[in-house]
Amino acid sequence: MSTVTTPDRGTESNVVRQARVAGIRDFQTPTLEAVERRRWQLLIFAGLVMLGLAGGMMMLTIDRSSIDFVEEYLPLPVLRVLFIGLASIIGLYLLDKEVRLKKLTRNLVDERVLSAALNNRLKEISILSEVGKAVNQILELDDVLRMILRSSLDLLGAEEGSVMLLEEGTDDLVVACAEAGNRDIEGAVTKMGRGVSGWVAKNREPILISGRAPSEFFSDLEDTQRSIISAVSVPLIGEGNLYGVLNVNDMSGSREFTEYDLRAVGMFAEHAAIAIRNAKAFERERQTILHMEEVDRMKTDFIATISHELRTPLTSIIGCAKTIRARHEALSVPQRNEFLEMIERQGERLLQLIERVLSASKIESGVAVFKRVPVDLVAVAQEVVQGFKGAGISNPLSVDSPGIVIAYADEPAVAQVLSNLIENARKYSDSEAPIKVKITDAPGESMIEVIDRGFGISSEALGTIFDRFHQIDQSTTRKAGGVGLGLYIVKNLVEGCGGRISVESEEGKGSVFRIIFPKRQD
Amino acid sequence: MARILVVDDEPAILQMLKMNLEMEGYEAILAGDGETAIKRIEFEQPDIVLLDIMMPALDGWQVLQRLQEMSLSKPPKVLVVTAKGGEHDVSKVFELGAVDYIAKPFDVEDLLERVKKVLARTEIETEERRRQLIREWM
Repeated sequence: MSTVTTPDRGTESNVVRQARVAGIRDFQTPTLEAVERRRWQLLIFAGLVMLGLAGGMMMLTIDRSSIDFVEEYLPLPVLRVLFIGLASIIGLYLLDKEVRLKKLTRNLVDERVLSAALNNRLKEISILSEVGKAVNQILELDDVLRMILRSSLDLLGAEEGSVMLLEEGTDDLVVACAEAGNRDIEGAVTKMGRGVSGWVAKNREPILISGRAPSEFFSDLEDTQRSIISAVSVPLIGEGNLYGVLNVNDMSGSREFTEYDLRAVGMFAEHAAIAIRNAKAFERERQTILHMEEVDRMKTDFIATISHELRTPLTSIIGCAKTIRARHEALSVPQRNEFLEMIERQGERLLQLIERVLSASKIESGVAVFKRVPVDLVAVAQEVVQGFKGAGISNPLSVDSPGIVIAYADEPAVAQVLSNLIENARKYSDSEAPIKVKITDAPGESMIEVIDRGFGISSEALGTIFDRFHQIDQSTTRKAGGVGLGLYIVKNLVEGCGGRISVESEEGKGSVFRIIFPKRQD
Repeated sequence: MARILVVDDEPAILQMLKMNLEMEGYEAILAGDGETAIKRIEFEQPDIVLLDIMMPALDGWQVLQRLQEMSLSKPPKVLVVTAKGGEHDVSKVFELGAVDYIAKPFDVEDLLERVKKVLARTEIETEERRRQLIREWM
C-alpha cells in the first residue's frame, strides 16, 4: 500500500496558495473546474486586448488623417514602442498565469488520485473490519462463507468467485459457496493438487493469474477454468491449518487483477480462515449440545416410563394384598388363590423389570464380562423355548435346526438374547401368530434367526430400535409394556460375544432378527 | 344396583377391581381399551367409569373428549385412575369433565370410598332434579 498523506488544514496548503496566486477567487476549495473557468476568463481577456490593439493598428493603417491626428500628440516611433511594450506585458502576464494554472492542474489531479487511493484504502479497511466482526460474532458457517465471498468480491470489484472448503480427513476440496453467474457449482468437488485451487491448497501459496491460465502449469485444467482470463486464488490458512481456498475470477476480460489485489485478498484470507475455524467449532459445540439435550430428553422419558412400569404391577400387588386382608372371610379359597397368584405374577414382572435395568447398567458400566467358549446354540434355543412353553405362551413356538450348531459365545448371554427376542416377538404379535427360531450353520459363522408374523416395524423406526430407551411409539409400548431397554441389551450382549445383529421387517408382515456368532475364539 | 365400568389395559388391575366392586355389591363391567370403553358406555350406560389414562390406541384423554362430544342423555360420572401424576394432568382431568382423580398405586378401600361418595352425590342430584322437574310440571 502506498503511503497517503492527508492535507493539513491548519496552514495554507500548496494548492490553495497556487490557486490564490492564479487568481481563482474561491480558492478555499480549488477544483479542476475552477481552474478551467479561470483559464477561460484569461483567454477572453487576452482576446479582448488583442482585438483592441488590432483595431487600433487597423485604424492607423487605413486612415491617414488619424495618423496625422495622432502625430500631433505622439510621434510615430514612440507610438510603436508603446504598442509593442503593451503587447509584451500582456503576453507575459498571460504566460505567467498559464504556467501557474498548469501547475495547479497537475497538483489537483495528484490530489484526486490520492483521495481515490484513500477511498480504496478506507473500503478495504471497512471490509477487513467486517470480517473481523464476523470472526468475533460467531455466525453460522454458511453466513460466514457468504460474507467472505461477498467481501472479497467487493474488495476486488469482481463479479465471480468461490470459497472451497477442505473436507476434514480427506483431500477433497468442496465448493461451499459460489458466485458464478448462472452456473451452479456449489457442491462441486476437486481433489487436492488438481486445478488452480488444488495447486493453491497443496502448496499453501496464493497465486495470481493474469491473462489465460498457462496450460503447461495446469495441465489438468477443466474447460470452465480455462476460460478464466484473470484470477486470484489464495489458501485459507488459520493457525497453521488449511481450511480451504478462496478464489476470485474474472471471465469477461473487463478486469485484470494485480499484485496489489493478490496482497489485499491475502490479508483478508487470514481473517476469513479464523472465521471459518470459529464457525466450525461453533457448529461442533451445537451438535454436542443437541445430542446432550436428546440424551437428557430420553432419560426423562425413561424415568417416566420406568415409574409407570413400576407403579402398574405395584398397584395390582398392593390392591390384591389389601383385598385379601380386608375381606379374608368373604373370599372363597379359589378367589383367594387367584389374588395370591396375581401377586406372584406381578412380583415376577417387577423383578424382571429390575433385572433388565440392572443388566443395561452393567453393560454400560462395563462390568458385564462375556466368556468365549463353544456353545451349542440349538441346545440353548431349545431350553429357552421349553421355558416359554412351560410358562404357557399362547403363540406356537418352534426351533428349526440341523441338530448341533456350535459357536463361540457366552451361554447365559445367548439364552438372554433369545428369550428377549422371543418375548418381543410375542409382545408385538397376535396371540396365535407362530414364532420360529431358525439356526443355521455356515463356514466360519453360525446364525440364529427369530422369525415372527407379527405387526412388523416401520422403516423409519428400524434405524433406531437398538438405541437405549428407544420405543417405537407410546401406544404400542403401553400395550407391550417394557421400558425400551430390551433390544438395547440384546445388541450389547450379542456384540459382547463378538457377534452382530441385524433386523428385517415389513409392517403387517412380521420381523426377522438375525444374529451371527463367530466360530472362532478371537 | 349401580353399574360401574372399569377401563384399564392391565388385566391384573381389571380383575382385582372387578372382584372388589362385586363384593361391595356393584355390577362391574370391564374394558381393556378406549374403543371398547366408548362402546360399553354408549350401550350399557354405566353410572360410574373408572378410567385409566395411559392406554394403547385410544387413550383416557381421548375417551373423555369423545364422551363430551357424545351428549348422552345420562352421562356417567368419570373417575380418572392413573399412574401419570403431574399437576397439569390433574387440572386437565377436571377440565375434561371427570369428577375425581385417583393416583396409582391406589388404596382399594379409598377407591371404593370415593366411588360410594360419587354415587351418593349423584343420587342427591338426581333427586333434586326430579323434584325440580315435578315443580316445573305442576
